[in-house]
Amino acid sequence: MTGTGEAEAPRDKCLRPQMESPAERIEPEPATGSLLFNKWLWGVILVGQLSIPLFISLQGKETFRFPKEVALRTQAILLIGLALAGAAKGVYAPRLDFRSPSVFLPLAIVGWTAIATLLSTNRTLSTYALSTVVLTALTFIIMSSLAASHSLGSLTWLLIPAALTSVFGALQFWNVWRPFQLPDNTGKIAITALLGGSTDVAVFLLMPSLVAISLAIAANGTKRIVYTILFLLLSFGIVICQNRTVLLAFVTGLVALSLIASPRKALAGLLAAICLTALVLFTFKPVRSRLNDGLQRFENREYNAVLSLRLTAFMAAWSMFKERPIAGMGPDTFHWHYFPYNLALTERYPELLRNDWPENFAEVHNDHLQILAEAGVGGYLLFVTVIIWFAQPSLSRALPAHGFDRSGQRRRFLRLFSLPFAASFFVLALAQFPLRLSATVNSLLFLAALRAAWWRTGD
Amino acid sequence: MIRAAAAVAILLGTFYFVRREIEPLHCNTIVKQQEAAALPALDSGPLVNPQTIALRARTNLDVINAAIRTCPREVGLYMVAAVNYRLIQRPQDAIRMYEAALTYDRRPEIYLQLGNTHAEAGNRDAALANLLLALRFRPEYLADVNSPQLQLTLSAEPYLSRWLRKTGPVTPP
Repeated sequence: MTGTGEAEAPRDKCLRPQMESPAERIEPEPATGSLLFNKWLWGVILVGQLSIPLFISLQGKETFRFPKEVALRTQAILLIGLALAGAAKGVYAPRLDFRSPSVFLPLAIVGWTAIATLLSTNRTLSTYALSTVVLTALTFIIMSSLAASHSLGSLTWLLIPAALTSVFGALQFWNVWRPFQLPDNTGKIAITALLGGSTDVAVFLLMPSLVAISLAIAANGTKRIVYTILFLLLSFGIVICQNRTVLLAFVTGLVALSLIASPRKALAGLLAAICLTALVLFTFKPVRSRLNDGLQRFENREYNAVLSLRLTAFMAAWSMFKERPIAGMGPDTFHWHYFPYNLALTERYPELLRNDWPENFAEVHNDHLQILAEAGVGGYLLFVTVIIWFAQPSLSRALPAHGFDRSGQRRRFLRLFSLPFAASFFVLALAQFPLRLSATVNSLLFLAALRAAWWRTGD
Repeated sequence: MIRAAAAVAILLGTFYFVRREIEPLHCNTIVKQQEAAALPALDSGPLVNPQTIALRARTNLDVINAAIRTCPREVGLYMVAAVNYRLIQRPQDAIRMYEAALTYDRRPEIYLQLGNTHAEAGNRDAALANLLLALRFRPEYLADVNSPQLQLTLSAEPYLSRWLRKTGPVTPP
């Protein structure tokens, strides 16, 4: 191997198999019938990636989020059924290594969710949540069993709906096209795309934007230009949504990416991120107004207002966790418990939690606290373990980060993308709820499956 | 042959579960339709023939109760069912619907309407208990308490008295 990571062509062909690194080991091709079936199954997954973020129900009371929840579960059932039918017919035979984190972790999550459901304070709600977790885990296992034979081009199916969402959001922001007959709202309030609100749009666009920039760095030629344009489009969509948490997570991801891509240039990257952030803050009036408003409220000790009136939800979740720290209150029970906790907290801390129009939160708006409240310490440890597992390719010493090996394009992408993704997701979950948004969960599952398939443990 | 039969059986089972999974979308539509129909009827007062309202409410309840059997987790169905039961003067059934909704979600609006329904049924203590819960969350709900006598009683609560001193008297619905 040369210093750039490119393998030298061996003079003696007999040596070639021995010089082949574990990373380059070619999996034996499945039989033709199973190859076709695997392609069909992968096609179902890609159609899901394309369609779930865009699926809405105009006749329903809940137009945006609920239809996507249904679509995600339906996709899961369809995949599981097709996989079982394929297994019965003998055309689908995944090799599952139960010692591998990509199999062990989802099963551990299912197991812990089952325990938390048995001990739940509302088993009716938790049982449905358990079924969703089982479906999601099996979807991930099926996705990761198929992803090994697919190229970086699969990520295009993630970027297309993100690009459409960004364009749609921009058209609504500038009042060019508002097809949902919204009241006369302006700016970020007018943004729904097909996801529901500016928060949903910003959270959804975050991961694809990091995918685009990682692909732009990993690619060359025309592809680099295309991915760069996509990255700029998705970044613009994030900025116009003006969500502070998503912007912070976005910057975190970019800083981590600059550290991975070129440690020597990381300082320049960090300065660029600071300049970019300052540019957005001081030139984009809506963001500047929000920042000034937040600082003013902080000076007036209106801490609940600084946190967008979510302090009550945070404190309620923490109280629930303290009451049942091991297994939590039960999956999907936060919204059921929030009302009495809210009453008790606002009466105990009236000045701190002062709010002229209180909201009955269905989510904590902090996935860390939500998991602690609903699944206890066990659930949270699994959550952190998954994030660390995802970041592992960037921290691995298997291949140098700055080399470019044509046959290892996928691994190079993962080296660039994994830690920025994990870091930005960790920050995002501090004040948002990506795990409760089905469009985002669908993207996360897909990315996690690609990570599992494209980077084997021990390579 | 056996493998093919097993695969077909599994596929049929899959499509059955997929169809079941999609049904909540239809329930979501029913909630929107029923809310559009039921809420104006509740507020219409003496202007609309009560027999017409009762007939529509009974028809609505057939649709809603069928949807509840399919989608028991849809809280909106219990809420519109309760409204229709109140329209045909069956407060006990309405109370049952609101209490069923509370097993899936605990919102101040549910406690408010449950309190109003207990008041309609003559259960003063239960009405006060539920209305107080709603008003502790949002004192503005005092204007949505249907019974003027209960509104007066609730106004005497210390925190509500303080709130009324700040905002002024509320207008009865």
